[in-house]
Amino acid sequence: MLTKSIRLTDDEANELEEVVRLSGEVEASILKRAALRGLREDRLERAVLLYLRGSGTSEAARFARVPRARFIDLLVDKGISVLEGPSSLPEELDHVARLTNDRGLADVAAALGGTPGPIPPSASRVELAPAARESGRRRQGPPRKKR
Amino acid sequence: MGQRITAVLETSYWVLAWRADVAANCLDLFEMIPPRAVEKEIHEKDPLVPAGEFPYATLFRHLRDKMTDPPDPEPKPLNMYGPGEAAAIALAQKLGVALLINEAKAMKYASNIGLPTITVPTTIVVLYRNGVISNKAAWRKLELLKGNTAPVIIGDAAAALTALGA
Repeated sequence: MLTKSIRLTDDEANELEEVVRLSGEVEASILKRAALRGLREDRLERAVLLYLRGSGTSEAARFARVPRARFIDLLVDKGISVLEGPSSLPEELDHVARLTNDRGLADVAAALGGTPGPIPPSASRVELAPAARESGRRRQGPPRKKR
Repeated sequence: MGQRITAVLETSYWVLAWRADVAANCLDLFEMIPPRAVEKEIHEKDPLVPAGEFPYATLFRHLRDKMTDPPDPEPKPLNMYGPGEAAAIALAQKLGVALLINEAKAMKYASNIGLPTITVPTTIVVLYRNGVISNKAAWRKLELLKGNTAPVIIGDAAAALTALGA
């Protein structure tokens, strides 16, 4: 065990004294818990920065010392994008359409720009694209600001 | 409801599916295979609260017996990415099935090696298409993803839902 000491201003010392009085806990325990919580918050903030600068969630979570699944959950809480563009949604829909032999879904995928699969397209799919995109945009409102 | 699609589950997909409130619905669409490393990541506890269980882990625990066990032994994980992503990509490649993933970086790699990938926004569209969720539910679940998914992807999902009549 190591002992570390810190200097507090009068105001900070008064605040600590108040917490000790209200909680009935030992001052050293309160200080230790506060320091550990602070360190954790600091690591988490730095891990988020790492992620935003291009690290994967695994690396960032290791730095933050939190489970990866929890780190992803925390990113969502903070409103940080986990799934970045460009969109592969048309290709994904096309893939599902082929696996399930769903022509309607294949048409939508193709209208959105996916690679046409082996399912023959409907005649209407070219006309579908602009209307679908425009309608989707209207429904979703203006694009969010990039973080 | 047609035949389910066999797919390997990755941690990022599970967490985001839970956040979008579609994790349980996914079992109607997919025969999910969670690699052991993914299962471990989902169940991993916070060292500061070792007794607690995160809600996405609780749901996974309750639904785990509806999923398919991975082969034993599993293929060797990739030498890149974290344990969950490395195991999931290797397993999907070995089995020749789709990968359920929702993190851009590893997903890009998976696509580049020819693996079909499926994200949560796509899942919402397909759930609506298959009648598993209503149009109202589809829009609400897509709304839940808005804060953590690129606008271009949300736009495509919204366009697909609209084209499908939602």
